[in-house]
Amino acid sequence: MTETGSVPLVALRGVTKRFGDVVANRAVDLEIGRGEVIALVGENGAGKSTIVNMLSGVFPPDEGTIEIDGAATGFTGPAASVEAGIGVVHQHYMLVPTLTALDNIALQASELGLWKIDRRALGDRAGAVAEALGFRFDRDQRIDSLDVAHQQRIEIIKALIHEVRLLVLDEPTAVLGADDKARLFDTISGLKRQGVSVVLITHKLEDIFAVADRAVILRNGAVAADLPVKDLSPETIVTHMVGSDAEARSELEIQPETVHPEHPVGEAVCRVRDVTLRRPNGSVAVSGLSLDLHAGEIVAVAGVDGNGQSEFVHCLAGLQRPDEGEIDCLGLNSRARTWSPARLRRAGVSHIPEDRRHSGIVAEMTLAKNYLLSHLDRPDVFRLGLLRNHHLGQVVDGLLNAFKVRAPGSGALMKTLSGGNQQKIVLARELDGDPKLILATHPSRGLDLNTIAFVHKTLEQTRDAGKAILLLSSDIDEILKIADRIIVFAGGRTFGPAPCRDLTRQTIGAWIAGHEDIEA
Amino acid sequence: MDEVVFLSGLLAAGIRLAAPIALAAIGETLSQRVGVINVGIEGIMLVGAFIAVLLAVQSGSPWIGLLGAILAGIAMASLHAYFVVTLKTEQIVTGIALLFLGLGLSGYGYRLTLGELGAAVKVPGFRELDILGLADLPVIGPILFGQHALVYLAVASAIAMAWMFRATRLGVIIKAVGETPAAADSAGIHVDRVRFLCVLAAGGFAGAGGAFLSTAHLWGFVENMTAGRGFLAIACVVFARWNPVLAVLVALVFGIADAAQIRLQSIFPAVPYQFFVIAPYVVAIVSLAVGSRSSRMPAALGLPFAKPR
Repeated sequence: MTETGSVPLVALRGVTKRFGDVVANRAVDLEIGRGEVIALVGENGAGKSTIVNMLSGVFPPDEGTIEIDGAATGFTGPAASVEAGIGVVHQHYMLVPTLTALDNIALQASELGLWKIDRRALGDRAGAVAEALGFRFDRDQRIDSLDVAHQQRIEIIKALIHEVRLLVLDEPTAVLGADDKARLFDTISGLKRQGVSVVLITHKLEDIFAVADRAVILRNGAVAADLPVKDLSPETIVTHMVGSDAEARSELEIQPETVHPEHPVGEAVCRVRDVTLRRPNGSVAVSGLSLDLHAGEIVAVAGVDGNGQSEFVHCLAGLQRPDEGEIDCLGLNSRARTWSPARLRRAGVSHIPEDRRHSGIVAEMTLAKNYLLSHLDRPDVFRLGLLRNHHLGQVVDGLLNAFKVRAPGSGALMKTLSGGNQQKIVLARELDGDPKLILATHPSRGLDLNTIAFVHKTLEQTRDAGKAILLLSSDIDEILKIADRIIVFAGGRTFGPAPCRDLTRQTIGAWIAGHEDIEA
Repeated sequence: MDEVVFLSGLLAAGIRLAAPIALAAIGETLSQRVGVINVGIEGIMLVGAFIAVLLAVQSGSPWIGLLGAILAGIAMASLHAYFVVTLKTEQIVTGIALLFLGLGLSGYGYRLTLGELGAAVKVPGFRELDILGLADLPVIGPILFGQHALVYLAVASAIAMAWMFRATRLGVIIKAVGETPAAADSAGIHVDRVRFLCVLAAGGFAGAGGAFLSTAHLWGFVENMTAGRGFLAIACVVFARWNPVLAVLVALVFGIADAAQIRLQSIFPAVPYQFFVIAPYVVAIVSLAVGSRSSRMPAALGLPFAKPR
């Protein structure tokens, strides 16, 4: 076959994939041209990751074919996909944390054989790839000592160490701050100039407009729209994503900068005084932190990940104590022996953890039992020390309804739910039972637009009901949308707290970068 | 000078007692590094010890016995591998089953074959080497130059394995499979195949450890003659933080403790001998209690790997 421009690099023809009764992809047709950047968008469960897994040879399609250079290809496994010139950066990085960056690259480089690794030659090869991308590459760093942005760069180098014609990036921007995101987009543009095709999977509209040539929008496993980006507006994309479901769209309403109405603020539930927090490795993450949290307000904590935000939330949840300074929260003091997660929970602190899969849910347990984890003190679900399963089921079913969780019922296993529905359950669980202070860490990370809108609305309603909410977020839009005040952690110190309505996006951006306000 | 002779004898004996533990520990290190714990190596060692004696008697060569023991160890381990890697059963439970299987098979097999002949069986065993004729050197001679061939092989394989982990892609693959199997899988590595083969190799080491007991350390088989050495080997692996060379050194500590207790029994006849016999096990418990605090085991140890759907 001749190499003509009309033959796409990779094409999916009528690809269908089922898992049991669930159809993940339905007759998907998708063509990827050479040097083209395609944004693959859709809500959680729209079938994006299934396409990635088929392209990377993790599993084959049930029906239809994948063509490369016009020839039908049956991948026998991930190695065959690499051979065909497809590199994938998975959403959950496929890196071995205890190995060095270079060894992680060696893992994938099957051409090295099984015996002695020529680390110098491989390091030079990886270094050349890194240089072409404009990355700094420290070959001997262990992966677990790198932040997510650096880990992602190692993943990209790992993918590009082989000759790659198509690079698939699965939700690459979900965990990146603004700077790193901009750098990633530069990288993508650079690859495009070299003739590499890129498939960018994303939830975020801004990503599409930043780099993509064409947007392919998936809905319920099928292609809902396949259009050049220049013909698209945010509204049309949203329409294609959520379909004609009027209720879903009404919840979405993309408002420009919302005007912040005055909220009556109640008394302080939590006082933080001159707190110093250290990272697990002992370095000071933030010092001189003072903050009051009042009933009826949402206070956002912003900053690049790793500047002490996680440690701060851990302190308030009772998982650790401040290294210096003290916290008074709902009658408990951080220096007292009573500063424990159980006591704080009983006093009314609830915690929506940062890493849902790790510390938010137990995937192997039912929804009802997952609910119970935070409500073991609830008197009505026990009788004579025995669990009243039926009653618990009714309670949880009620919550599933109230939070519009798509689940068969309270007896379903947590792992059978999509990420968005799992997050809704965590939210439902933590907001139930009259908490006074809610620690919401990245409550909308990795969720689709509908669920994000739902989370925001719920948090606002909770605030209006007179609760104090601490919102940890790296998304400035989210903060400006729902928070009343903001405090920024950057470079070991804090900026603010200041009311959001007095601040411009530029000021917050400058704070996050560690500068005082940029004078006009 | 008496003390020096005593110490030299103690060390030489300690090495002899450590060798079977060290061999099993080297294999177990490999198995655990790849994510499979095998608590049944005691059973594999017993079968190895029995097969080594049986084949040595029948063929007249301890080397044939050793080869048979290694193959028997691999066969036993393949059973473990089939259950825990292929069928993905619980590793500890399967390992315990393997332990009792080995205990029963070796005891019964011995009674069926050699046991009937009574004590008259003459086992052709291994003799200590005399490298370059230096074994008669005072003090260091018996320690460095007068050991069994298997001792040198054990040290060499531990060093080779450490080198493999550090310098080769095979080592990287093994570490990745035991640490983050999903990452290894996405790199195109057959996780279950790597695990299966490593468990087999570990079985070969345990079989060789058993052969050392019955054809080098003693010349003959006794039911349950391992007396917990398989479990000591597991303790070595953990205490050595999954480093094969360190595992050999830890095994040496256990071996010296064992050699010391035998000598102490004769020095303090008034103390009941049982107190001395427990010495190596006390060392194991104390060292685990002290050492396990800072150790970090392979993240996927004990977890079967299921490919994404």
